[in-house]
Amino acid sequence: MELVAIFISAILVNNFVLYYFLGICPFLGVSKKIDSAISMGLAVTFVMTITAVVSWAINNWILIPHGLDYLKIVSFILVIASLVQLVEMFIRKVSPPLYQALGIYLPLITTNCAIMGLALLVALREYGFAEAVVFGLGSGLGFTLAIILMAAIREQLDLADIPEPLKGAGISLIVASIMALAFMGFIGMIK
Amino acid sequence: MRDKGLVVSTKDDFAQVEVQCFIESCHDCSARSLCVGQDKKKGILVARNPLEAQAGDEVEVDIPETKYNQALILLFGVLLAAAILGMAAGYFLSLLLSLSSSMASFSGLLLALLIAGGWLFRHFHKNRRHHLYPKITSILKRGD
Repeated sequence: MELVAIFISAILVNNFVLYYFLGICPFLGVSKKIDSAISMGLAVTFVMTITAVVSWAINNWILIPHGLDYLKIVSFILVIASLVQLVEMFIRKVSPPLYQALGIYLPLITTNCAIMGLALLVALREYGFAEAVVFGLGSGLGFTLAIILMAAIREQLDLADIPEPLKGAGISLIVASIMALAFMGFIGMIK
Repeated sequence: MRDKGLVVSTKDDFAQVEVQCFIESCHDCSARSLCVGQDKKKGILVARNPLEAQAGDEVEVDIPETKYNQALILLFGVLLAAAILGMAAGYFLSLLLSLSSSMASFSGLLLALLIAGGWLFRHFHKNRRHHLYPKITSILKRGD
């Protein structure tokens, strides 16, 4: 039951983008089309799930048993940077044109602050293995939900008559803030 | 998405095309300043060259944006599914064999990612080797 609560809470109540305001850069940068939003959401969900597992393993199997808690941030940065390099190398080997096309977006996916935030929250809340996995997966799905909703709204906004000064970043930030207010409605659903 | 460019060099079935960034392809992209640099206004694309354009030719290049999204969804979708299935398999195996559930799930995750990685490598190399490269669709002006 607790796992279900963590999962739903990570998606709706404590959404990484709309509650913690983490991962805003890819959220605003890659939410112009639903196709791109889905692929970005899946990529972030994968990276968040793996980060949750790996950071849990580092924290519980290496740092805590050896009394090295104070190295938490440094080791998480190191681990996340290594994971990013691995994902980059993998994509470059699997499909060079995809790697060429992704350009700056690949580091944007994998090094956004939501990933570091997730690793620190897993350690801070002292989650067990299953809880960490469910939290990572739920957080990624929450990010995906938020970015797809944003992309759907922005596709509609292309057809709307928006005042000139609000076009672009202005209206995107207003939409994001209204979405965050709407998601506040889920607070109280899970304690 | 289409863009115009100048063929810089050719090799086998491919050509290096210098595209005019900030004109068509990049003007919608929010990461353009990070991607090609603030003062650098041109980018090099490796493109399929079925029309056998030569260096100096001005060409039109088709960039298959939708295919990139499909490929990314396939790539990360398969990896995510494999990660979840691997951890679940490891957990259930630990119940049967009385192992540590976290260690078994972690091992299951690594094994599943290796298998999924191998499958993706084969898939992209066998079925779609050149599928995702931009393609020269017309030669606008022959070079000297």
